[in-house]
Amino acid sequence: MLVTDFLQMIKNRSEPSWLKQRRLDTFTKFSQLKMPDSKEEEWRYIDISQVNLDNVKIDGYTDISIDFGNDVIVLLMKEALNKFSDMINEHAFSLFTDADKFVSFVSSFWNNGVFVYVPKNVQAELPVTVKINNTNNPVYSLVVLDENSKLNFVEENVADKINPIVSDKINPIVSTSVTEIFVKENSKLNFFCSQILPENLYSFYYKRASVERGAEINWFLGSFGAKLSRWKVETFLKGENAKCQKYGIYAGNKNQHHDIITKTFHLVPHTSNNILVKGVLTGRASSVYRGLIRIEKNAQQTLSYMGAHTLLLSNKAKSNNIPSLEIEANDVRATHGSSVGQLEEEKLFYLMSRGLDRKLAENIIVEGFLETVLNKFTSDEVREKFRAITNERLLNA
Amino acid sequence: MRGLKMDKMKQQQKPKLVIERDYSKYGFSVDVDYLYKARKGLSHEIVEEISKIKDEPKWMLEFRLKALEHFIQRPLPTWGPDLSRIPFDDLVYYLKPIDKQATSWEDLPEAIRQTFEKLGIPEAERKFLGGVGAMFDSETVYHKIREDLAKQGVIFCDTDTALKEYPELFRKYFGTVVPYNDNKFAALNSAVWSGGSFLYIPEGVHVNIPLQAYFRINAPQMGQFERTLIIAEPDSKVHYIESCTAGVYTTKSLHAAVVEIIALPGAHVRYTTLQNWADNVYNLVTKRAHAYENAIVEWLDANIGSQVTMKYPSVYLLGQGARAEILSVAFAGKGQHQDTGGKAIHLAPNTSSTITAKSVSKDGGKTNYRGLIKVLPGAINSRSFTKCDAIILDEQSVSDTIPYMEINENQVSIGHEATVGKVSDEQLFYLMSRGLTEQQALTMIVNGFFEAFTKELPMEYAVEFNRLIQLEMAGAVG
Repeated sequence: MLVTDFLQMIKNRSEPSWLKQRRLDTFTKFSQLKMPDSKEEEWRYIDISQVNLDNVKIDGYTDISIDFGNDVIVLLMKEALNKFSDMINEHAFSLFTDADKFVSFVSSFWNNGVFVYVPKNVQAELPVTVKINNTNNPVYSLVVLDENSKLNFVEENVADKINPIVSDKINPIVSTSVTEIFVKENSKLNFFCSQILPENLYSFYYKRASVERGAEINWFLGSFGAKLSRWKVETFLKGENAKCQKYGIYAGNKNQHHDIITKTFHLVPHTSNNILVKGVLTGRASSVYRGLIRIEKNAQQTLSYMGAHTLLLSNKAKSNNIPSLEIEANDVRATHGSSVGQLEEEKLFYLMSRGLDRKLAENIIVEGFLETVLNKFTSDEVREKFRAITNERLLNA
Repeated sequence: MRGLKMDKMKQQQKPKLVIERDYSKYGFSVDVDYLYKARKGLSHEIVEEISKIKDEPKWMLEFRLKALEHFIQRPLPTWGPDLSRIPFDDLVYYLKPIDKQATSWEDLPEAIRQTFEKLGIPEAERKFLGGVGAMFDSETVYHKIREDLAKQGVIFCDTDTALKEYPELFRKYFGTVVPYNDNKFAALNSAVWSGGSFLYIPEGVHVNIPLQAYFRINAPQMGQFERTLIIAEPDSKVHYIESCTAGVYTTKSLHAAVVEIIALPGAHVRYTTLQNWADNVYNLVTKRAHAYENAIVEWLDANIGSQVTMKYPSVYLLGQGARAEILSVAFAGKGQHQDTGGKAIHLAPNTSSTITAKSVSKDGGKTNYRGLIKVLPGAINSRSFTKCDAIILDEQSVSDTIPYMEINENQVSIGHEATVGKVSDEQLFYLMSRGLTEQQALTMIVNGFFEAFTKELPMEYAVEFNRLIQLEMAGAVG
């Protein structure tokens, strides 16, 4: 996009002037940045040669439906800008001072998203449920939990308006989003997110959370659709006794690529982190799980675990796991476990010898494999939904 | 009477050392009148000069020059430890101490002989080795193999000699496992290599006593670039041990070796490294093996000392049923960065690999485990397990774990586990409540932590390793 077009675009929007200025600043940065190179470590196993953010066509607003109880404030971003301009100005992209091409794309062009504010001492009863109907338009969401509050947040990414059969090889649909989350002292957020996109889309979802003293964030992630799906989920444990748990599953078939990055940064003493990510691949699907636990020098008395496991159902499926640890403190315990394997014939035999046919036996083993993640989910509804989607994707493939 | 008995008992309990050696004094150096000393820095002329002095065939000079070109063009790696302070222009790339290699220690110049005496090599050779090669700066100054082994057709000589005496065998395998353009430091080695061991084990021959090479850097600001080639014919067996030390200087030195192992069907090669470099040495080594059907390759790799070590012994499992065992241990003290690990590439069905890595960091030292398990399509029933444990002894020290798993086949079983943490207070308390000081208790725990490695070593080396760890642990309690 040319600068003149960009200026025209922001001129036509009724947005606060600080936002217009900020868009202009990040647009300059975005225009200067190149698309990531496969030589860069985080882009090593992912083929984004079809994606060119400089050519992505953007128009209109992303269609988002929201559902929530009356004890919290939930607005579409375009509306929130009028009422909560100051709060958005204060928080927006403050966790992304190191914005790459994708993040600066979102911060230049985002047009809609969800604004959530849970006031002090409010323990929201009902979940906030958000359904984002993705197109090329980037989405920016901001979730702020004020002190001593609690929220269940459910985000579902779909793309109902996209014809799943037609695929544009030159300019494919690129779905992008940035979500920033602030969990203030003694608050607790359960954050459920999933993408069930048609298989002709590319998606790049960046999520960062800042977790303060005594606060807790629990992520529940499901990656199912898209031709290529990249999640980058990062948590900064900034206050003592902050906690983070990340549970994720992915299910890939055909030529899909699922790429998940999780990073947890222990910045202060007495924090804890627990990660378990499991995936099942069939067809020619491939996956990358890249995990990092970083424990800073003064972050003593830290407990951190990362588990990453993949089950390969076909001999054309591929999996790359890179679970890394960077430990600068000594009085800590950081561990990880990782495995890649197939359906074990012994287990299959056991089930089949009890009268199950092979297909059913396989289903049961796959379900059991994912169950250790799903049973951590604090929402029965999301768990059931993920289970159903996984079954459909893998078993009818 | 009773007292006498007690004395006797005490005497018996005292562990009897096979070799008495002062393990704290490796850092000495001696004055040597070198026969040839290349001017510092690297150039085409120096590479040509080295080749000329060695009177090499033309193909080797061409190989060297090609490698030099690649070295110049290839940038430093962008990952891993900081290598920007290697003084490439100030190093001496070739330093020839003597004219004719000796087969008797007495024939060596006094200073060189004394160096190896102090390091205990002649004594070790007499007591338990089947053959010894000793390298001093750029050249192998001593080489000998026991007669009975020579009679069975075992060839154990320095690599320069092998190029002259076994040209066909040499050319068939040289540079096939680690090509000259594999990485920047393999290219550098290929350009200026000198010395190292050539080991050939004929079909079916089992060499049951270890063969050893000793690498010594004596001069300051020196680059040592030995090249080792091991060819194990079908169903043969050998255990090769290398030790490395250097004189201590304030200036930097570089050690960039290349080791190639070809383990033909059914062969079993064990390669043990006990490295104890001085703190001013950059140690950047490429070690790789090709393992054919049912062959076994074992790398036992101990990394103590050096400023920076980057070393990831690897095994390409090329034939059905081939097996790789990599055991890598590292100790990083003040100002040291040990970036070590292992790689196993499964290219054939029913292959297996195990990587065990253990590291300890102390006084601001940094240990990294970096590893790769790769399974290519068709390598069905591959099995691999990696276990990394790291102990960080104090608040200044650091440890990273970076394992890569690239799995392109589904009929496999791949596992990885890692832990990083401190010495458990419970263990310390247990030992101290039994009268050990904190220092003794810590040292005992660290020695125990490395036990998986030490128990694989011949006794003499296990003793040496434990002594070295003890020295490194001195002052662990502040």
